[in-house]
Amino acid sequence: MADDLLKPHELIANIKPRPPQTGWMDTPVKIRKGMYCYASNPKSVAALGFPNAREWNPLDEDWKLPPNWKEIVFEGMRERLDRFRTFKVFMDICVRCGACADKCHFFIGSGDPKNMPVLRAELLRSVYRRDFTTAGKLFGRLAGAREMTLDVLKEWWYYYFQCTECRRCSVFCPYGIDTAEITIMAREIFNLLGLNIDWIATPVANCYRTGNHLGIQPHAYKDMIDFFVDDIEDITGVRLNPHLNKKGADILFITPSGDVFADPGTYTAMGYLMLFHFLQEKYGLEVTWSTYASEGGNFGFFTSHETMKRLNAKMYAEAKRLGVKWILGGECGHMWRVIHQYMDTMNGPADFLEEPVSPITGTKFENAKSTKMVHITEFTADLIRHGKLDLDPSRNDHLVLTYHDSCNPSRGMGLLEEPRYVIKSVCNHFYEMPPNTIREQTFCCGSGAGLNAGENMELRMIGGFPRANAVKYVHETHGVNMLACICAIDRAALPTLMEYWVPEVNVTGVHELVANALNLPGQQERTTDLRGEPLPGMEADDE
Amino acid sequence: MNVNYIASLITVVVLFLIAYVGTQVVGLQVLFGIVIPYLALVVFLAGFIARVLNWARSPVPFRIPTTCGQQKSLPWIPSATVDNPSTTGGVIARMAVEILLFRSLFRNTKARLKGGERLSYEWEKWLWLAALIFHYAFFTVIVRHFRFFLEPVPAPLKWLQSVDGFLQIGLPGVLISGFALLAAVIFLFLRRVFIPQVRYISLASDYFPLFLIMGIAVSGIFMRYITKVDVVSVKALTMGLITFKPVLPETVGGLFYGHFFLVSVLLAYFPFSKLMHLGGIFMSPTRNLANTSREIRHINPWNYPVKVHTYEEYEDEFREKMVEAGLPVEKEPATGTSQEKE
Amino acid sequence: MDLDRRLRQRKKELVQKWFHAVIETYSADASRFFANQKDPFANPVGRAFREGLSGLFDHLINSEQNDPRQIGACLDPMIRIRAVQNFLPSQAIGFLFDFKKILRKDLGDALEHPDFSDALKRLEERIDAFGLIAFDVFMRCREKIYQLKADDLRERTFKAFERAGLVHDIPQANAEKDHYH
Repeated sequence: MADDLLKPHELIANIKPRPPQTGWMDTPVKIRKGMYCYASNPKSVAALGFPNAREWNPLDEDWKLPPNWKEIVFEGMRERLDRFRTFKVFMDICVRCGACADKCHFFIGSGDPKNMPVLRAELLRSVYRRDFTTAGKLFGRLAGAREMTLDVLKEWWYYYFQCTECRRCSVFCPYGIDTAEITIMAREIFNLLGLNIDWIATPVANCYRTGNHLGIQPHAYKDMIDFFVDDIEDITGVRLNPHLNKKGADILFITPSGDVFADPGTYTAMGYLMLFHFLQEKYGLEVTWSTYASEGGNFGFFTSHETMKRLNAKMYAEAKRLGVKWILGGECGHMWRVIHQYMDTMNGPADFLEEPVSPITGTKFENAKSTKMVHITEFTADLIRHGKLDLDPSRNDHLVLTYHDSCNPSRGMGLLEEPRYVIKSVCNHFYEMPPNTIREQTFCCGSGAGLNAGENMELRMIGGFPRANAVKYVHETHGVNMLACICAIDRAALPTLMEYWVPEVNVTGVHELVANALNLPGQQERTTDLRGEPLPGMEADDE
Repeated sequence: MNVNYIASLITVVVLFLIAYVGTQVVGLQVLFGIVIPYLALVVFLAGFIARVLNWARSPVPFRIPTTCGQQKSLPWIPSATVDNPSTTGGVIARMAVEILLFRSLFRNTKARLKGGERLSYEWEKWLWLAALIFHYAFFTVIVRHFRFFLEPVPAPLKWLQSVDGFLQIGLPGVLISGFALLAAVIFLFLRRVFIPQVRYISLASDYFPLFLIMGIAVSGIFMRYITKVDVVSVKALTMGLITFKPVLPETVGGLFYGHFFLVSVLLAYFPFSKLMHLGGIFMSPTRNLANTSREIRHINPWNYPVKVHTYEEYEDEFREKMVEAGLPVEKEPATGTSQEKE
Repeated sequence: MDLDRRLRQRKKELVQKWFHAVIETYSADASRFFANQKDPFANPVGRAFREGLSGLFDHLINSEQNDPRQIGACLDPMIRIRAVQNFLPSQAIGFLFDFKKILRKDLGDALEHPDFSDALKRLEERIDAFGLIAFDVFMRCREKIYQLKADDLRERTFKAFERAGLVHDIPQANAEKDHYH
């Protein structure tokens, strides 16, 4: 933004930068720095066998598209209209009532009208009308139809990579029109043309080969777990013996690789390890991790349905190979959208697994009896409810918490009370943010759906502003200093967001809090939390 | 000035004039009183059914409801049985609340900071209210018009008419629904014009049906209260149509034909427009599915096998390193490093 | 009547006009939303300017207030937003100087009065000084953005690896990402 400085006379003309008052169809897209992600690395595109792998730059005039790109777009749309009733119905029934217009975090932050969910969808609908409807063919512009051009494609690309598929608009839509669904279709079409962004394509390529987005190989994964074991021993005096790739374990545990490799998710990973150790010591439950299925997250979901399925297949395959009873899933947002709403359909039936039952409490997880995968906050909430954990919440007394509902578990699942119950059981100071910013109305972190890159920082800060604003409110009114969440993208994105808008607030996963409170059998007196910060009343011991 | 609504307004006025002039000057009563209404009805029915069948032809590959409340999970956590249904009954309730009460539009809560940081909440539901009035008034008006097509008029219709006319003023008695419809449609139009963000997204195809309905309402109100159309003749005409023995009473005027033509246009236009939301709302997979995605396996009819990176391929690539790190493997390495394991 | 008193009396109108001048820099669709949506959580941008300009006005007319830190703190929430929206630096802080025009227009004929014109000159100098502070704040925000860009995921990942003593393993994973510049 700073490098397109104006000349003095332009500057004067621009003192009032009132944007053009032209209709949206007549306002061509301007791709701005800080608002888009870099184009995908051709190596990653080729590794997945996607078409049109080449170097390209979104700022260039020429996107090096295949010569028949319009035909590809048309065929891509036709195929998806035939496959997805959602897409077809959502193309037809919008009445443009405007209920969604001011519900998108990107619009609220940027004021860019094309970030209104209705208009974001109209970008595609306008082309749909012209190519697939009688009214559009007959009446053109009057029916809201327009021709597919390179400018339109660029506009699509820019704005469908400014949607985090959070589904907040869908909550307010009288017909349940879900922009996420439309964005998903648009991104599938981009992949047919080789127009992905690197922040998605490279993790997908990595995940395909090494089992996780970061491309971490099995031995490094094990080293990292070993390091956690050392750290936990320093803090608690207890030596853990976690299982990796263990055949015959009771449960397979899968979490996003971000929890294992990126702060502050690493503390959440330590939390899982301590919980599993406690359950093994007390109740003999064996939980294994896997290096092959070492990624719960699924950037394939941001690529195409097919890619999502390709990456997700590892979960059931590994559960089958290891011969576990059922699968437990860690804290992650879109991972859970995929598991809850797609996995069983795509890669099931999981008839080689048992219907999940907690061997400790005897609770049958009826809601997961077909997919056979349980969310860890469902599992832990059940343990706490039955008094099976030995907890000392005072070890979290230095924290004043609020809880950020991640988009996917709240609007694609309805996992609202479980994490709250866990947090309230392990912490004494908890305050909710205002009601229209939590639960099904939660605001996105602004970095979901593969947009948590570095180069689009302005976009992320703008998109996350409504969330940060609500955090700031509870920080100012209740002294909140810690933001809890159950999503690995949140744990990667929110610290950055907080650093810009509310630097006094840190970010944590829920199971880090659980582990802080959890008394391990045979532990020494705990003087620090998992981050090595002295506990309240223990500061003096350091000196 | 905006070409979208000007064009729509002009179109509706022209349509009305075509019917008026067509019947009063050219004498095309047969066309506007018999042919076009029949055609419009056929287009409406065939178009509507075709559109719905077309939607139904595309499968729902995944169970992806938008969940707007607590899921059903552990028995001691109360679940939102309507906003996040887990049973067919719950889905029916959710759809009913959505269709009959516009649940989602009602969701707009609005917070306000009052002095200091104290929060308060306000009612901000004009869109919801106007939409509700509009649809219910329209519904009542349509049902009320059934009396033109039924002989004898069934009792419930008479009751409806007396409820509608509860104000008991004027002669003929004022029926609330017609005026409510007109008021709501005018509100919805003004909202489109005066709220910039809504004006920005509005197409000609958003204004056109509003003007069409406005035209229908205004001409209807004129006939009933001002020109006092000959109801007996009108009923003769409509009964003729419904019994397939069309007649064209001389005493039916141009205003009626204008009204009747606009209704015909609305019917014929319906299947090709956003008005199909009437059918679509029932078909929306984010609303009409129960959130039982993990409980009951949903079948995708076009689910096809994909290329995956198997564990065997993975182990083949990393076997040495895995063995070195003490990770269990399926196949021992071929040579050399095997003693390093254990 | 001195300028000070007059400004205090007219605070509500002046701040309102100033607010609208700021909001005018957004597209028509957005400005109506920023201006009319009163919910501070549904419309954090509107809230920041509503509260920020009112506070800034108080600082402006309080000639005792010369602490750049406090003035900067008042400007910060507004500049912080504009620093990540699509504005040039000049546009991002230009709204401060809009107040001069608003002020002159509001004073109208009273401008001719010698008492007023002197006081007005001093006030305009204060606006200029505030503008310089705003520039500092703007740069601080931009530098933060660049720092965050540099720090982002890679840095955090690197930290986690470093803690684990695995730094030597990193080139493999990182080579994939080296085309970022």
